[in-house]
Amino acid sequence: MKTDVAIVGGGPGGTACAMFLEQAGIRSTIIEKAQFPRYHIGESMTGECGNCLRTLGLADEMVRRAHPVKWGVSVYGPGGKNPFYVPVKGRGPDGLFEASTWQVRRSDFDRMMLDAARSRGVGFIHGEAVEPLRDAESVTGVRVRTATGVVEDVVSSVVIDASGPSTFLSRSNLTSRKERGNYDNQVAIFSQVSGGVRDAGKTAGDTLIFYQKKHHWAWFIPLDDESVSIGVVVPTEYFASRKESKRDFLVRELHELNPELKRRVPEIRLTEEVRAISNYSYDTRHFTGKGYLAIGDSHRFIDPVFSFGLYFSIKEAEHAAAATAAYFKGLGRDDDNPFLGYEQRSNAGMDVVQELIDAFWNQPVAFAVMVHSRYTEDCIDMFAGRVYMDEPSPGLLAFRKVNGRIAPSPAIVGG
Amino acid sequence: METIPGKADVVVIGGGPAGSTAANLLAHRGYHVVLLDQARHPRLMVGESILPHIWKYMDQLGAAEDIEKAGFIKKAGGTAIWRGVIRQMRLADFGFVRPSLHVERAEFDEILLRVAERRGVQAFEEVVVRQVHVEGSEKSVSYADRRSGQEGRITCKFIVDASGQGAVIANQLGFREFDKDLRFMSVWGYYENSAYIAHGGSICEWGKRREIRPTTVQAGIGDWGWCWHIVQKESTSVGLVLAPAQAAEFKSGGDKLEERFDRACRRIPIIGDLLQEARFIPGSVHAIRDFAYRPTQLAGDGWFLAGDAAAFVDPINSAGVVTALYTGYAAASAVDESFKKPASRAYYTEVFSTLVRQRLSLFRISALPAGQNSFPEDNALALKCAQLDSRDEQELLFAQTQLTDRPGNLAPMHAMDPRLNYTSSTRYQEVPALIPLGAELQAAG
Repeated sequence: MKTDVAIVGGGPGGTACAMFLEQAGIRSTIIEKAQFPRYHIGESMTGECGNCLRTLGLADEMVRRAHPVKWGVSVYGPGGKNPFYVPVKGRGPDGLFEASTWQVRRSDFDRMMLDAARSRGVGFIHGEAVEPLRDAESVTGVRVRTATGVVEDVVSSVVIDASGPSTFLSRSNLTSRKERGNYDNQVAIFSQVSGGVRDAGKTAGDTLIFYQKKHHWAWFIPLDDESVSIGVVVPTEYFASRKESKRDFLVRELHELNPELKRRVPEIRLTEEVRAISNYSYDTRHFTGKGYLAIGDSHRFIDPVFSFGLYFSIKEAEHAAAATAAYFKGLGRDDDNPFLGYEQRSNAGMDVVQELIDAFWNQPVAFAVMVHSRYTEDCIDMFAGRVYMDEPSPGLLAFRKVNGRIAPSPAIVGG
Repeated sequence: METIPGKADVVVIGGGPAGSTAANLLAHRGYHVVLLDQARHPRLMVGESILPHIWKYMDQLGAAEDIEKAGFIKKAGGTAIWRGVIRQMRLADFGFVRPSLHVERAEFDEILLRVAERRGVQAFEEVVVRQVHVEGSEKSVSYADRRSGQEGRITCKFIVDASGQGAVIANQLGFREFDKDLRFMSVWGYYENSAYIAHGGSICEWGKRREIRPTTVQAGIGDWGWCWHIVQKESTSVGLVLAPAQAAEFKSGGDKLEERFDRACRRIPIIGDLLQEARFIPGSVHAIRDFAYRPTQLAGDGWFLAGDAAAFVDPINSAGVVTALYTGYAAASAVDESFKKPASRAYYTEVFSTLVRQRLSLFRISALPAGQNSFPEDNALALKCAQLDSRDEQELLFAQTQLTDRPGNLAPMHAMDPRLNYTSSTRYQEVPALIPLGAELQAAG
């Protein structure tokens, strides 16, 4: 079959991309191997992620589904006292304003996104992307094996990889090699509990992060009135040394990792299977070319600590759709890589978050000072996902300095 | 042997459903109708899945009782396996009280022809039409009688051409236009003892076909080609509708057509499972060119085209027989009105052409491989027809396009008229997986 754009993966990145393309009048077809609904991790949105959904006209549906509203994130230190708080705020012409975003149970949310895309006329194939189709100079589509076993070629002008960690394009050797990321020697063990203790009032839906020591932390993300997603992230060596089952490990850590976390989950009633993922941090370069590009964690995943995973998938979907629409209008038709601009922008955005996370893990004291007092507004912007900057903000420059990536400049030293 | 008369009010070419319908209705209204068919019925024909719309025509033809008595397999609805998604719908959910059928076309078509004869049609089989003469006020049809070898000519006032894909008039006058969007080839054959799929997704064994109604199965095989699986009284019809590249590949296979066909069917996912215990019936394979065509003209002074002689589209929506009945009915009405008001015959010819063209456009658009319409002007024509359909009828067509993954086909019409019920339907379901044969027994035992 023929379609304008073939999208590998029907998660939020793929479906958002299809809907952004549809808004630009471009037809796409999603190829998804899983039967939805299906479990998925990565439940918290940044502020700007919520805005993407508003742009797609999905705000009413999000409200109707009564997803928990997230006003901010609290990060507790090892003693469980004095958390630092980063509110979700929007930015308008008059500066920052109060804003909120959502926490989502991914099985529900992802299905809603797929249903929304399909109801808007996006094509759908239930099946597995086997390999890209190529001619001498370009990717020309995707070979698919459907869930019922038929092999079919989907011919398209552009292939968008939204396959997530299975990194379809990288697997097919179209990108440069998949490199291990900075937070690679980590394992995340997670499940859901019923009846966690939340903040009273407005911030009941907020994300809580519990920090124990470097690379050893836990999350607490409300999913509905009853359930909370909980997970711990630890060095792989530590997990191996404990010689415990995933479940035993998780239950023990929830009460040992941080006193505040124990107070939040006094009784551990697990309502989901305990799952684990390891080696989730990776980076592939050169993930665009003639006829193809990758979005979100189909090319890079940094670290889950500040909930950027879902956002990058959806925001890069928006950027990729814009780049594709421009390409269909003839922009960069004769370039070796018509999507180079998109790639550079994606890298720049993810690099900003990399700075934020590196500083958090490596220089926690300096990080806390910057978030609390020195560059609060810049930090709020970055946490919300406003990471696609024309000029680096003073806060970003400060993080770069802390991470040793630039020499101190008089302006920052003096600032 | 009855002699073919030299004169009639109306000559109908072809004794399939379109010809029998037109002839039946006109004879019933008292006209002298002669019907000529090149074959002797019962004769082979494909197009075995029939929508429940036929019953309103059967009632008018006086054929309902004969059809009911024939004991054709009643189907529950459809199962489409398209791009990895299994979808089902049930025709009863669209308000149809009487069943849709899987028919042996040889038998079904003969019933309609015999009923037409009972209602006064003079039908002659094994008579080949050589030429029509449509110039001037007196029309005539030249024929060769294959039984006696004699040739003859019947003069008449009107000709209804229901000659099927042979398309006597369109070929003679040279206005048949092949449709480049739909160039398929059909190869089909018959199996004994095939399992089938019921509504709800259960695979059932052959012996259950009268207890648990089968669905018509349509399985995509890539590149808009597909396979049908139609359970009948004594066998199951399995057909391959092949896209040009697939047809070329199929034709290039070395061994016998039958072996190639059987092997290809058994290799199709799910269809192969249904055929696991089935026996291929030797000598049952046939092939036809499934090239769609559209006539540039559907009627002229004193002549009308009906059924496949008018147009043919991909059989994906099981609309062939219903279209034949509709066009046969419309031709009969136009002839009847023209007899009654000779001064207005040009007007009735025009009305016929317009209505039939609109209906054919709608069928064509709904059957197209998604988004490949080389005749976008058809949308405006089809729209006129769509607007006259009931909400249920609109939703049924939408659900049919959903089932085989071509919902975008109706979108241009919906854009022109948002009132059309062409955007969503809750009356079809996605089935996560089929329930294998014997699954319940295993669970119980």
